[in-house]
Amino acid sequence: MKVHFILLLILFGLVGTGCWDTSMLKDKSLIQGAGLDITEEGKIVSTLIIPTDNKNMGEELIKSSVGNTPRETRVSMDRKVQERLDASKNKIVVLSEALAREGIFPFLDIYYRDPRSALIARVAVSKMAPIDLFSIKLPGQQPMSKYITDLIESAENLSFTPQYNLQLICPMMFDPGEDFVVPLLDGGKDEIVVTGLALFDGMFMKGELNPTEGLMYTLLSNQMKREATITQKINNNNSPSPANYVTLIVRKMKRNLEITFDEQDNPYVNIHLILKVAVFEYPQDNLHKPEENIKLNNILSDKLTHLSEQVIGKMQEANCDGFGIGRRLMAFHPDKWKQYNWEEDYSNITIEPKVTVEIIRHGIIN
Amino acid sequence: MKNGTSKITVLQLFFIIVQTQIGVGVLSLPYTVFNVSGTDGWISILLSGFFIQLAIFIIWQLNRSYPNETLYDYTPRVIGKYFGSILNLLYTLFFSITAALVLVLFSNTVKTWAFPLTPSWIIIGFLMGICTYLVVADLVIMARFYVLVSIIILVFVGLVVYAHSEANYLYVFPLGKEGLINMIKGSKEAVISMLGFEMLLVIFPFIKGKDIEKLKMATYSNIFVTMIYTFIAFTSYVFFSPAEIVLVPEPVLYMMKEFSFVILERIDLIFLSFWIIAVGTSVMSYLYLASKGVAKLFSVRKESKVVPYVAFFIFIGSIIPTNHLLIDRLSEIIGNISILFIPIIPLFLLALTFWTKRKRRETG
Repeated sequence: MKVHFILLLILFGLVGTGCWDTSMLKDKSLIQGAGLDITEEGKIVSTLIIPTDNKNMGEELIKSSVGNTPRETRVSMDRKVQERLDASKNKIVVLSEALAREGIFPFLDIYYRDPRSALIARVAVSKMAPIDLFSIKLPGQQPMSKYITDLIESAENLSFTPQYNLQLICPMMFDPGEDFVVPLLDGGKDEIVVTGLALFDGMFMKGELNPTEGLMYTLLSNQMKREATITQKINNNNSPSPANYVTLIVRKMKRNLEITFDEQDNPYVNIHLILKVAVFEYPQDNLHKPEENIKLNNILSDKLTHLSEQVIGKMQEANCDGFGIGRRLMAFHPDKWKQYNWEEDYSNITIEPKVTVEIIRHGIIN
Repeated sequence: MKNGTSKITVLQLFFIIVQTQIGVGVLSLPYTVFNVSGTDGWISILLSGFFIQLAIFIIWQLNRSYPNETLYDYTPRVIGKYFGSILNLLYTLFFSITAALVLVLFSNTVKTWAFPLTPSWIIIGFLMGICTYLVVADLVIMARFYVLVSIIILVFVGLVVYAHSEANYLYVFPLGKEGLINMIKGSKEAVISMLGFEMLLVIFPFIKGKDIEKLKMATYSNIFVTMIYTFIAFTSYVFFSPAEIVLVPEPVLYMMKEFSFVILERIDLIFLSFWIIAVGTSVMSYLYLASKGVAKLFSVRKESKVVPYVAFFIFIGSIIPTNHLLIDRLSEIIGNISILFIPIIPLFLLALTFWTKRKRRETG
């Protein structure tokens, strides 16, 4: 009798106690992507990509609502969908440019605070309002959330943007000595394009880079992922016009970042980037000749050094310390760091890039 | 299974101390230490390992003087029957309250991270039930269980190693920027998370082996736990930037949230379930210590008879506090009290023992 009672109790305990926190997939609406925008009156427009039903993940709905905070919009959104919204499978958070310029952390609190939310979701800034971006009619039956994530993932693989997610940008958002960038999106008629990088200063977006500059940024910050392809104009007067260009694919890279100081203790940063490249497209041929190679190496080194200067110029203008120079100063020169007001001093320091290109392969023709 | 007759081996002693030390604090340790000693917190933890070694030495010396007795047996002999009983009562209360606090912190974390709707009495009740079951059995059974579940430590370390793929080591430099004073202050916070070696006060006579072997094993377990904690804290400091870590009270779990493997997501929940075992072993140890005390106070021969009652009172005590500010305050107070109970009172007892011995020698 007593044993039976105890067994029953254990059985009840094992089976019954799960009931409090059950969360059935059929009662959930799994958010696939989220967009946040801010109106001129300061209201939040939140747009979510949710599947029409969980069994058929292919079809997606775009729902939008307005409120004072992201959480408020989420709650009012819950009144529009049958199931309960759940951010645990979220793949992407798209922020409008206007919102990004106002400082993103307060808008992302909802993602950082909730234990269920997916911190591996990618972050992007969009030139187009997220609601319009998500509503673009894609050809075929592609789900929007998968399309955007794949788009960013391929941009990461091609090194147009460093790979970050909600969690990985967070340390830099608060660190005075390091800043981050996120991909910048724009919508076309039936497509979405990665149009470059949004430069952040702390939690504020302050500037942008075009795709080529973005690629150079990724290389300079030593975050190349799989491959990187760069096309550069090296002549003016050949015809047809493609003959003026060379396309490189970076195979190996090495970056040295060195900080020295002048007499006034101002930091002087040298970035030396060594790229070992393969020629991907070069209609002028003759790459088997050593002198042609050396000539091309030199021209490309100059061109890319110039491009790097342009990138660094834009970064300093945006006050985006993407290379973590401040962090290095803090770590290795703490006494000098105390003398700086990094927020203001960063844009005035000298950062001198030097790119050395070495062609190591040229494909299967000369 | 007869109580008090079966003895554990020194290797089992190692695992008992390790499992009691690694407990509820491991999730928040990097954060609590950071609040005092910044990114040098991991050095504080190394320092606290040193302080703990001193405490272990004191406890060992004390227990060596009374080879076949537990703390509860020899206190009346050192400071007299009256005060001895009072001290035993205080120790019993201290161990019970520590157990209750561990449970409160445990249910709080589980509720915030995984089960917001499940009532805490269920969460605590389940853990307490299992603990009671094992403590009723015997110290030897407990020891075997501890050895068995020690595999989870490998899982802990394995998952934490993974965080190094996203680490920025520059965050911990320059080393020692907070200064020695803050590092020592921080080590106090760390010591609180590393309590558990005080098991030695009570289980000392139940260990097979020479005294010096016991000291050696206790030292090894201290080194082991210190290393693991230092590693975990260091990893948190290179994963989160200094400005972010103040926002994250459970950095170890938060860092797991970012991981995702091919078929596994939400590694934090997996980590949490392993952590529950570590908490369980700590609760068991404190329940055991408290039950021994109660058995002594009421002169009960078989302490397994009092275990369910002690467990029940601890259970009641642990479901009362729910406000997170109150819980923080309580853990602070108990942390401070434990400094008194663990190194200071044993040191005092040790001094008295030496003094009486010498006096006896002089008079005799």
